[in-house]
Amino acid sequence: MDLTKYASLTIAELLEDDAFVKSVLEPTADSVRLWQQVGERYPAQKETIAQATRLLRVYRTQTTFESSQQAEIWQRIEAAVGPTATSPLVLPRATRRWPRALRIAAAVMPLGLGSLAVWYNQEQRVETAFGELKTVDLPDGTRVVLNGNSTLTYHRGWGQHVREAWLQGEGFFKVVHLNQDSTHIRPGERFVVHCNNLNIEVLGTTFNVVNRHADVRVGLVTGKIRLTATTPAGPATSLVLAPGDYAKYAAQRLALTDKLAHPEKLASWSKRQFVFSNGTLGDILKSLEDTHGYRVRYTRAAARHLKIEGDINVASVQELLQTISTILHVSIYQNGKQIIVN
Amino acid sequence: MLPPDEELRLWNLFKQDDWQAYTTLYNYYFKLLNNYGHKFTRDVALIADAVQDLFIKLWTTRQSLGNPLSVKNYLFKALRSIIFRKLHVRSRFTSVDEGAEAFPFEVSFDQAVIEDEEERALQHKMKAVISTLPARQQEIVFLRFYEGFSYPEIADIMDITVASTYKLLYKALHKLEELFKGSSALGGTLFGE
Repeated sequence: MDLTKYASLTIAELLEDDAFVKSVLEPTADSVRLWQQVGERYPAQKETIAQATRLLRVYRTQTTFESSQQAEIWQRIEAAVGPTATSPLVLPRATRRWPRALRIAAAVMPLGLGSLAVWYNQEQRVETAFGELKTVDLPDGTRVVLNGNSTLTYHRGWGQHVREAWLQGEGFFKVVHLNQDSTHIRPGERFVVHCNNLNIEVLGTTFNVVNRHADVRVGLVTGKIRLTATTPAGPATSLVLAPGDYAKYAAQRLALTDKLAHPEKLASWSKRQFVFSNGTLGDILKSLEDTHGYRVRYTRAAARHLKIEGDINVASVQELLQTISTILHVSIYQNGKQIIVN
Repeated sequence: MLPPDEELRLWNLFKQDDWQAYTTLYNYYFKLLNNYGHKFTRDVALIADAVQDLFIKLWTTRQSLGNPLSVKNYLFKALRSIIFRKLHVRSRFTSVDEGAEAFPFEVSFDQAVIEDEEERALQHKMKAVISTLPARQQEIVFLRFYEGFSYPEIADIMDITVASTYKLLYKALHKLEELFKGSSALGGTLFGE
């Protein structure tokens, strides 16, 4: 290597030099030897090299910011774009075989167009039993994980029109973002989930919806969504949610109820985990009734209001009941689908 | 530091839908990206959102991504623009000075404990000098001397030409050089600006 260029460099010039900076940032045996050589050949440069080295070293003593959220942000990313725990349910395409004569007729007659339209508008309906999870891939690539005891319906004919789906029960949505230009949104780029009188309108986001017992709860993990409540009488009310927002629509009132510090936990049920934050015994067991078909009885009604501070994160119903019973000092008996709280 | 060919291998796997490679890239760059973001704002939630947005966007657009100068420089550039956008949106609500020079950049030496007395004194002076540098000069010093980026990579991250990168760094180095020119010169730098 030609060392002559280092014969009379200033501190600033040394710091501009790639080879010099690299040798301080990631020294190797070779680079250390090289700078020794430069110092020996040009003794007057020794001090300059030492000062430039010290300057870099001191600069690099600066404080680094350590984020503690590595795992948590990953969970959110995973909830948004990651592979889901359940394997996707492949919806049967219309494979019903028609009699040969009819097939020919359909191909040659205008009836063909009519039957195509019927096929396109055919309502698709996916249902889950108690305790069952299903992953549904919609025609646009949107993925919905359905919790137990839930129903999702949609029409097959998406394209020019708004993407629409109807939900009863609970679903976690990862909606594919189709919109390129946010100042010009085409109808086909919108996605709307209908829950009774509440419409959830999105472009591309991840969120959780619970539509049970005449109220709807929506929690947003990523992106932005708009909720619009249409009341039979009076004007529609609407609300725009930001990530972490949790909103409830009940008794024809739409309101923000919570700001979740960990919205990614909304998807925990889709991985067959039971996660509850600061829930009451009543809420927790209600969700077991709703999604797993248990029947819960309380010998003292007040027990419903017992609150569990902090988080519960378990993998099975047995474990959940055990944890609750330990924390709250209540006896819980389980007999088949019957749960009794004493 | 991830070896460049290993980095490129992971990048190519990730572009072919390899979730594992994507996870590795996330875990490898998470701290570096957060640290960089923290120089623009102390709003930890904003940085977290920006990192999240960056990786979600990365996965959803993976098939149309090219091969950057380096994966690290690509991620820094992308994060920077997301953070700027978020800060910009927020500033529209909080401030009215439209023409203000972009966003601050600030390194801190709060927790650094230095044994050597001479270096400790140097650090003290350095803090003072660096805080007088304009934000973009501070940023370029960081990218160059903390992260070890090359000139073309810095130019790409900061969206300026390579020639401007040299110029900007040169200005900053000139001030830093004064650290070694006795206290009077330093005083001039500190109070004369």
